[in-house]
Amino acid sequence: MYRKIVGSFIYMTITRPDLNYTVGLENQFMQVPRKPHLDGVRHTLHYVSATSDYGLFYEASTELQVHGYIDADWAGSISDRRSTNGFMFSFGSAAVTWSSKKQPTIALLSTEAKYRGAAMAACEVAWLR
Amino acid sequence: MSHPNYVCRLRKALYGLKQASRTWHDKIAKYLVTIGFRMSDADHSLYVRKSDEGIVVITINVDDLIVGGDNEKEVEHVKRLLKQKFDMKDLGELKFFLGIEVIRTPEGIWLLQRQYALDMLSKYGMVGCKPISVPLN
Repeated sequence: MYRKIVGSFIYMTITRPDLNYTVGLENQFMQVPRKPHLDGVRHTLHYVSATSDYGLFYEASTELQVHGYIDADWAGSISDRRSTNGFMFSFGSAAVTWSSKKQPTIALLSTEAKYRGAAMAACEVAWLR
Repeated sequence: MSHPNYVCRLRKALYGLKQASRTWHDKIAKYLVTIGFRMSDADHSLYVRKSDEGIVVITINVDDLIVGGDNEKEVEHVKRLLKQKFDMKDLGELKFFLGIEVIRTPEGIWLLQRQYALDMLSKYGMVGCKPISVPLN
């Protein structure tokens, strides 16, 4: 059940950057989901119910410029202390690409975590050019 | 049967065969190139044609095509060319694509998965559940 619901969430993230981090986190417990994880997923279903009409709005009057935002939560994972970084690029009024990804290595400094995050975002920029 | 050990080599793509989708893609890709489109390097299902008249963009999802552009005349022209070459039907303005709802208003364009969200909620028996304003605690 847990896997099925999270699987449904994954497809939702294509128009829902707001769900991206949560779904990424829930995705980490796919192998051995426990009761608290299922409770979390239920919580997210309540959120989806409240926000089913959320989406992306590309406003005609907004100037078409690319803006990028990045960050990383140093040692954010309580189970292995790896960091998760995120970025979002908008074009005009809404996002066009975004990501939330747990870093493959353990950053010892917050600078290290954020530098790695910036590098990931830079890879995305190469595609946006 | 005079030659029981013979097999036939199929020279055409048949519906449902493993190679059919590839053959189809090759065919439409080749045609789009002949009418002035260029395949995007970043996404091979995206085709762009730029001219003084304006820009026309096509995305291909198997046998569903979305045609867009900034010049209505050019878009119509491309659609006519496609209809001549292939047995195609124009479904009018884009409303749904891969379960994503597209709403065009004078103020801008909405991309929503409202229907998907509602279907999902009913699948898990959560229709009309108490709304919560944060995705997770």
